[in-house]
Amino acid sequence: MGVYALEQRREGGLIASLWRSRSAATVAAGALIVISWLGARGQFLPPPWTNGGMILAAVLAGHRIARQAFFALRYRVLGIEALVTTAAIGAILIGEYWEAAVVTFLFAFGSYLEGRTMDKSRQALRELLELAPRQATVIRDGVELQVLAEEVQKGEMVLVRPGEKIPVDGHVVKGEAFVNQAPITGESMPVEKGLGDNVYSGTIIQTGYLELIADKVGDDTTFSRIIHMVEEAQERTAPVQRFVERFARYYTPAIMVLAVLVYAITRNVLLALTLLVIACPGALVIATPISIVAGIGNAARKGVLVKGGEYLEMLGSIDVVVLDKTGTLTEGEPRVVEVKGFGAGRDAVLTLAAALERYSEHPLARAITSQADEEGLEYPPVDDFTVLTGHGVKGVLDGQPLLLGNEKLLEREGVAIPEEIRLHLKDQAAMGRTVILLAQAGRIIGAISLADTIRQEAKELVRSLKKAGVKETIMLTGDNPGTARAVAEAVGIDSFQAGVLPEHKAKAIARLQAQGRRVAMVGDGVNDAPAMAQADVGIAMGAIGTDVAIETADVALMDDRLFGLVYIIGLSRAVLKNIRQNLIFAVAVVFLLLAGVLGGRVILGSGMLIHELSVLLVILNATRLLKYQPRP
Amino acid sequence: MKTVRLRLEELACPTCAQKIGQVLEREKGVHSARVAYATATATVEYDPELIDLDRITQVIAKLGYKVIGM
Repeated sequence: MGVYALEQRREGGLIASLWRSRSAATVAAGALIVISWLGARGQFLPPPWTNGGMILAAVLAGHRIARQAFFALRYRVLGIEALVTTAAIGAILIGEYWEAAVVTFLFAFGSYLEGRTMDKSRQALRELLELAPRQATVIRDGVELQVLAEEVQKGEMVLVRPGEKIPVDGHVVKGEAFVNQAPITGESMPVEKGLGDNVYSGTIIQTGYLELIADKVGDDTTFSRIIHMVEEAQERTAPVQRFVERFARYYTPAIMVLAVLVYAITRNVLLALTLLVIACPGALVIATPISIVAGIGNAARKGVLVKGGEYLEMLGSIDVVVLDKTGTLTEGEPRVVEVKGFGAGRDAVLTLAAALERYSEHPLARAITSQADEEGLEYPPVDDFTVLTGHGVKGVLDGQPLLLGNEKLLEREGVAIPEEIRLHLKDQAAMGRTVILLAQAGRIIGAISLADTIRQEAKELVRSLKKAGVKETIMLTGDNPGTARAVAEAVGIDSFQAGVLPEHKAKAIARLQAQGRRVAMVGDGVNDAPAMAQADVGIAMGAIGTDVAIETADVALMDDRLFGLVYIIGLSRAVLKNIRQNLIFAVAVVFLLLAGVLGGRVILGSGMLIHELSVLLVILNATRLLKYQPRP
Repeated sequence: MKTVRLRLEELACPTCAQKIGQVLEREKGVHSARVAYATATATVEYDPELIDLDRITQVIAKLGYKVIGM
């Protein structure tokens, strides 16, 4: 590309290289200013020398600014460079050499420092980019071949060895490995992968070896799409920012008009020129975007994808967090929680039930067999095994007919349910449990209670959310009120709505919003997509591998640790606070500068000093967000 | 219509970003140009039949900024 020609080194002496290198020119200008100032103060240099030194400093630091101003003017755009150049030339013309040198030096030096500091906040994103896989080993026509990661074709066989990065999204066809998925999920505990498992581009094999078929390559991989979305998110402007930019668009020309008016009325050239220097409210314009960039960068590193600054801003002021029960607060899989024998031993009941359920794929059946396995029970095969409609099974063991199923199924099969057992069923239902009954020769001998177990971290969650500033937590579920109440009480959630069908979840959210509350909806991003869209902020958990969730959510937590939720809400509050600090400070600077200039207290050099310092302070404040750590 | 994202060398001031965007949008064939100060990236939507990438980077270079990558 043509631009790189500009980089070409040209031969030349010291002056020529000073002319070309921005930092060298700036440093030389600074040195000249100090020498000339000392020379004038100590009277060891005659005025023509010190004045000449100041002018030379202004030219060294300012020629680049002037050139940029000139180019922009050719395109009929008036930028801050034009204002600074006008101010510097004006200052030289009226004999204020010192002011001209200081204004140009501070502008050049300030820009340099700001660029450096700003770079730090972009670092988070750059680190993410560096995690992208570069090389891949593929099998083509039976031959092992090294290619660039983006050259892998869909459907191709890819080999990945220990320590290597997985170059594509794919599924494992051979081998086993522990994979570090931190680049995507932020969770550094390695995950075990084997036959049929999905693996993701950018993740790293720690131990083991995998052969996989590429399902998604190049820009389509989860990793590439995350990077792309993070970049776009950083560019999307938050509502506050649009207002600020509109303000800046009027502020700059207004100050320029004011400068002309002031000159026309007072004939005070210095005052008019100073106004030009402060016409660009730099700190104000960057106050919001710089905090957002730092915040989104921090989140990306922790495996949280924020789709835009506006969501970070919104999340920072959320009142209510609505959680989907299944898979969020609970494991989403039933487990045996109680086994009761009626005239039979507990272990016998579980053994017989497991024997019957051995061949069933139903989640309740799997829960029963795995409980029996866990307890080390040996269950024999049954004869005449039959699956009944309505989730029941029957069979024969040791000549005794066995029947397993819920209350309704047993009644249908003609089994009498005594009062004692009916009471037990009622108790269990009130606790939100599902009960499976076991009958032997037409008589009930046991009851197994199952429940979706609550995730360990769920109990911490509600408390942590409150600490992070959330006013209310609400659970939505399609389950019956008994189950809902049991879970809600166990995790200490504020309130719950049971029996809510997926399509009604969005309405429930809308009702909360109608009460004037800001609502975040947390779910899996698939079944509750409409509710997430309705909410002010939709947060998807465990989004890795679910394209729909990544697509529909405003905020996507790649893995499903609830802690990520507390982290992102905490971070969003920190970002909002940071933006507020920046804006208040920047507005104060704008007014103080204007008042200072009009009151004659601030002139050219000091005006520029305050301007540059304020920009630098705003950037430094924002970089604090890069270090934000969630408190567990 | 094609969209390209260019990485620019650091921008000295937020108005630089505005300036680059304004100038690019005046070029024939450029449909829209968004320049983000904080990320120093220019997202340009253009008609490849009317303007090419070289011309776009040239315009940015003429304003005194370098394109350092895509």
